[in-house]
Amino acid sequence: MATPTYSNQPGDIAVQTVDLVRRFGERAAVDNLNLSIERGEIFGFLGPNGSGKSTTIKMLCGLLSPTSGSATVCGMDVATDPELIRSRIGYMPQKFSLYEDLTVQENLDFYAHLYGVNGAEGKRRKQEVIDLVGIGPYQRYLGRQLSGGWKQRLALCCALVHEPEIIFLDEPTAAMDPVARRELWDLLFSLASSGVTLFVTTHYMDEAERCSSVGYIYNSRLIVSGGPDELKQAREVVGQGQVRYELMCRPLVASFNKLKQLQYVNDVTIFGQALHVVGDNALTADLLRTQCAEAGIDARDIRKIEPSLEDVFVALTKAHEAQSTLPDVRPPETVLTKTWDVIQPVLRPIIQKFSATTAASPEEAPPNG
Amino acid sequence: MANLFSSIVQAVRNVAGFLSSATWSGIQSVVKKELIQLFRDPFLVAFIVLLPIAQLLVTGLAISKDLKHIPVVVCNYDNRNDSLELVKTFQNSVFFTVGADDFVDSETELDRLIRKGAYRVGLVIPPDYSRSLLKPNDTPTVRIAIDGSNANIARSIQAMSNLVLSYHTALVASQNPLAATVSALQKTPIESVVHVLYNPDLKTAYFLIPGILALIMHMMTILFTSFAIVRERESGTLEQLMATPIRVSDLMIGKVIPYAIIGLADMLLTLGVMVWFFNISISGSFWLLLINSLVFIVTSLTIGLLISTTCKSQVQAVQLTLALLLPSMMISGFVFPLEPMPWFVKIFSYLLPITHYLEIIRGVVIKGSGFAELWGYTVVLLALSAVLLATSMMRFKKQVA
Repeated sequence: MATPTYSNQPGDIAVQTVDLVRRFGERAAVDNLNLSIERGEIFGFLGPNGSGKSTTIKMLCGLLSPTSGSATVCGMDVATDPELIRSRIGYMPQKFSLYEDLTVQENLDFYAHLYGVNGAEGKRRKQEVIDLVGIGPYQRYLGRQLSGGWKQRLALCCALVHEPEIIFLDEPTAAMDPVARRELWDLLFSLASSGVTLFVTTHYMDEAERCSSVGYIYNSRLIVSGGPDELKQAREVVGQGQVRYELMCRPLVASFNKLKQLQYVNDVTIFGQALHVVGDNALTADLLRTQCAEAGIDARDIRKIEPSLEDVFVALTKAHEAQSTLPDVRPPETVLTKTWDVIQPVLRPIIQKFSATTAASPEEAPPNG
Repeated sequence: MANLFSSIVQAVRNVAGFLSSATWSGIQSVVKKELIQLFRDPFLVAFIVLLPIAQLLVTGLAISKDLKHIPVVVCNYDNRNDSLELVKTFQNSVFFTVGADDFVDSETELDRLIRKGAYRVGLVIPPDYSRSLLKPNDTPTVRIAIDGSNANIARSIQAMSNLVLSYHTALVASQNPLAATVSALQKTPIESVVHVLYNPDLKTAYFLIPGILALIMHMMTILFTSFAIVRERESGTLEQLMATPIRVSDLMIGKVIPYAIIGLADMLLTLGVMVWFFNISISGSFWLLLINSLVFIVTSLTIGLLISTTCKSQVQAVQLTLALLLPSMMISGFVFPLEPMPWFVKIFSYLLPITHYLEIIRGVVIKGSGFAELWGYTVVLLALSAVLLATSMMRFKKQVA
């Protein structure tokens, strides 16, 4: 196996895509994706279901070939060196994809063997990942006997056994309870601190807040990427001269309805016991307070707040929804519709001719008939 | 033809390429994993061990008995000694039985019973049978009524009754000088002595049981591998597997090897049933048969592999396997001889591996053929498995990329 050329300096690019496109039929699942992820980062890839997150990961792991554009992983092109890339990355699919009828140990042995991690080195490495993940007590359990959290840990074990430089995790915490979720993230942090690059897709905003950089994909397009703090300053979120306040009101719902009527107030949302008000720049805290007093709202603890990532993504999604319409999707074809498409041009003139003659016949009929 | 040849050469070259790219450690880990999974599933082990034996026993027992002791319904209008002698000859032959209840009074009753399906054959003796037997210029005519709805059985019954009648004619001739002149007139000018080679008793079992064995093993081994990759695709494990640097050749060969071993074990079991239960001994070399069986098993496994790379679900794989079953029975020479088939059917026949293996197993078991007679079939089987393996590898490559 040829030694790939890559340097291990900090600030290296681990994953880069240039105008990456993947189409399924006419529909683009990923459209002109441009990403750049630095080595050692935890990159959070966010977006609603079906927005193209998994497709992107599969392309980067060499499981799907791009329709156009290019992607480099560990400095190698996914189109030309998929095998070399695979030996240096780890992949954890969305669904548990290890053998349910093999034990934890057997699954790990199998994957270690496939990655060429053998002998004393293999033994050491396997013990290392078992200790790291803490799956030791479950070694003799069958895959199917594990709970969701432990299944994911086993998958992580198998994805880590060959000391990959990058790990791709497709919604690793989707089916996990909060405790298991927290523990997995602690694991991911410790991995990142040891220099591994993590590419994680998720739905959870609190997870996104923990990433060192975030990309948001919507409708197959990357809308924004950057550090979570950078995103909160994005033009779509704050650039339009918007301010955010949090206030405590009682009664909550009545105040919520009254607040919406106030001047300069654009949006009000309920956050637990508090209300978040989004308004124009002209809305100062004092103005809000006097307005509340005039409207008879019992508002306390008014303070200016930063937008959360959720606010960012909601604002971005709304901005893009306004721009783009749903792609025009044809109903699925069947043999019958296809046949109809073929015979239609032949049949139509005949039908027209027929209907023309029947329509014309009463006129041609003699008046006394 | 040259085109076909060159494409076969290309396929063999591809396989050689794939084989040389295969790594032993990759194959080893897949084989190990497959064997662990296999033996962890008691239902699957039972399926693999018991099913072929049970199938061979049931189908073998069902077909191994040749027609014997067929009940005959008799309408005897004559009822004199000579006619009773004729009935007795029928009764004494191994082919027929005539019981006390098997006599009817009229021909219409006899026809009705045959139409009803109560009897397959009836014997009608005319009232003047004994008299015409004694008249020098007269030949007695008896009527044999046969149910022709199953042509095969009817043909056998016809042959048997002719045999019985001619035997009886000779018997009568030896006892009755007057009748002897009658039989002398009927006597055929040329007598032939037929010497049946290899299966002197012309037992159907000899011919059919090796064929059934081949068919059972064919279906079993195709099913083994047709599940092999589809199952992993359905459960999602294939996706994880493909994200590792495993080579396609390693995966394919790693999937074939464990099932080839198990297929060979199954083959030994079923051959044991054939030899010790059905008493069909292997006339030729056992080792020649075993090596050829291994080649046949590998060919079947590669068919399964191709099905596996084509199908998206296990249900589809089963359907495709079943679709292959019918031609494997009908146009492979398993039941119907290949010779009278039109050429375009024959092309498909010779593309089926089982056609060639039937020649091999029947050759070795019944005729005692050796390598010199059979090597051609072995070569065809090897070529077929090479083409199939190469095709499945190429198909699979595309799906991954």
